[in-house]
Amino acid sequence: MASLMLRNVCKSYPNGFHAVKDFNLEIQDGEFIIFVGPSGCGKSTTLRMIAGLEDISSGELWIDGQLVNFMEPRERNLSMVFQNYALYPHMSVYDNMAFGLKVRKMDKKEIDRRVREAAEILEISHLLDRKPGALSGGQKQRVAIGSVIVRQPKAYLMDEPLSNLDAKLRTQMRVELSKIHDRTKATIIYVTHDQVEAMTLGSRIVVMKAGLIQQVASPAELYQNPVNRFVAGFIGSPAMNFIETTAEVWNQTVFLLFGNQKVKLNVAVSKKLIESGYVGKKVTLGIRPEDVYTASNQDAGRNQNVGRNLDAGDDMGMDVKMQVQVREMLGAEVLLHGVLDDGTQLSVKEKPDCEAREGETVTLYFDSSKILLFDTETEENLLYIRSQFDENIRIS
Amino acid sequence: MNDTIAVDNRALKKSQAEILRMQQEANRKALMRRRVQKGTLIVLNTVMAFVMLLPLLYAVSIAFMPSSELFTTEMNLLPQQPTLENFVQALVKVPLARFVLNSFLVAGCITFGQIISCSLAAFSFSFLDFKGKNIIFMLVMATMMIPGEATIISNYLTVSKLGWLDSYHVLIIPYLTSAMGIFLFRQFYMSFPVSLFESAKIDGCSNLRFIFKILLPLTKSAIGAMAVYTFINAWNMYMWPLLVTGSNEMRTVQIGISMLDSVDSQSITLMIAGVVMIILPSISIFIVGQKQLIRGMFSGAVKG
Repeated sequence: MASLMLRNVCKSYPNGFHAVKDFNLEIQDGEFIIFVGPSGCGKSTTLRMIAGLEDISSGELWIDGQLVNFMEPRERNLSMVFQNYALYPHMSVYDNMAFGLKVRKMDKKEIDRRVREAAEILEISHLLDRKPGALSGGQKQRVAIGSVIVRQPKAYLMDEPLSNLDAKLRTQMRVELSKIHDRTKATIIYVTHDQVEAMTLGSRIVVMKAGLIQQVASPAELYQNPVNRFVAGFIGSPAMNFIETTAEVWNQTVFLLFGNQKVKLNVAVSKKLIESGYVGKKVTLGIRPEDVYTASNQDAGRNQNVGRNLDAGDDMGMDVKMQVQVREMLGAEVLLHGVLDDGTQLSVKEKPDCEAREGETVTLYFDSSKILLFDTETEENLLYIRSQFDENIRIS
Repeated sequence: MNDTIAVDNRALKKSQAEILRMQQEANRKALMRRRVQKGTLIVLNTVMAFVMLLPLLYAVSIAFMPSSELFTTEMNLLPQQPTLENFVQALVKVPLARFVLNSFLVAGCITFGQIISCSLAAFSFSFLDFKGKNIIFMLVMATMMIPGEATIISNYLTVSKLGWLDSYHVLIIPYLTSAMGIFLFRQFYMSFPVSLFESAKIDGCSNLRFIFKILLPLTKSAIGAMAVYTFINAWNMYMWPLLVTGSNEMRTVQIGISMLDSVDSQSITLMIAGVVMIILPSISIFIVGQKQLIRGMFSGAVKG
């Protein structure tokens, strides 16, 4: 396995479109790196540049200390799993898995050993004689992963490998992939637009937007300490709520005003906002649906927060009124979608016993320790902590 | 009250039976109408097919007629005294076997050559990226707009300067590639999943290995369509072989058959017997390959 380094990598097309802009990343040996972002953000293009399927317009790509910009795909010794499996339909599963090795003129006994070993890992030994046409989607994906494993390449590249599977199989394959990574200790670069895959599989996640890296961090850090509004909104489901507010100060405490309502910030955050000169300015408040509680469940929320070293009297002391428009029962939880008096849409994740119905107005409490603040213009997280190591420290 | 219900029920029962009868009647009528429509279509189709096939069927019939029966004022559609004499004479008078062999050789080589050259060209037009790709493809397509007759003189001068006249290679080499074939293969390859090519490339496969191990085995129907189309075209070539061959050794069947109809010994029955013999290969190839031909021509037109 290998380490990779991308330095100032750019991709531009003859029509002037810049798909990837100044991409810098170091990938350690054995890391499971996820590229995530909305469609057209350049994540697949970056992966294809690493594979050698696209030329690198400028910048450098190093694999194991070797500059590989101008190497053919076959010389880079990487392997790739495609979204549509890319199995050769006229060859049996065995031949599909052995193809890459046969091309490299490997000894037949060694090919046989590796194919059978990989088939064992993926539990497809009984399918080796079948043609891909006779396999189900999940089995095809296993074969595709199998042909990648047998090669024992420097790194595995995976381009949305699970997106063609149904939800149940996807969950199952996600677990399998995790196991395979543990077992092979392979360097894996994985492209997806599914944030659940990103959060569960990755040792580090690269969030991209419009060809630019937004943040590179571990799943937990991305969730708790997003660098900007885009990352905060992209990671987490349902997405984070954003409310446009104005910051005002009374008695050294900052209140965020929106519509006829206001939210009080705790001392530390207030201090930070005053210091950075945001008083009287536009600030975007961000709060995740799971950190908002309806009136009846306020106590439950408060109890949850005991032990998180919060100032209990301070954090739940702000109420906001929301008119419930849609109530979605998901079994283990209830999602309430509603609108505030200034027209802002808000989602709340509640326990299934929450009694709020469509059309009712409910009082909401925000967990002030979980509030994020963004500069409305630059969209930067005002409370972002630049530490890469201590993921759990937050301003509270 | 009870009486009314009983009466209503009876009325209901009656009307239910009536409804059933009406339904059956309607069904019968609909079935009848469908049968009449189908029957009319079949009759119309049969008549049309007969009209279309009449020349062919009449030719087969003439081939079995003694010439005395053909040149009469009576309308002899079928031979009165069927004879194989015409076939025997056709085989004796001209070296038909040699002509057939020549035609097979020429058509076979052209078919093989076109499949190889056109699939390679189409591969580069659909899978590779190079400067001027579209312009070169346009140029290739533009050659389809030039009628063969327009270039035949200059082609003749070229091959005669090369000293190629009256040989196999003059019949084969100018036809080793075709714009139509390149176009056909390219259309086919356009619907071929690119990820298979990319996957093979990452696996370490060279372009040629990809073509012969993966692309060609997976595009058999395109090859089948192309083979049938090219073979029949090559078999039916007339103008070029007539121009560049002179000896019996090099003549193809289409030229050879016209020798049966010379000014000195005109015999329609003899010539028709020859024609019937030489259209057999074309027809049988078409029958064997027609599924491939249709599938190949239309694949990629719609999803599925």
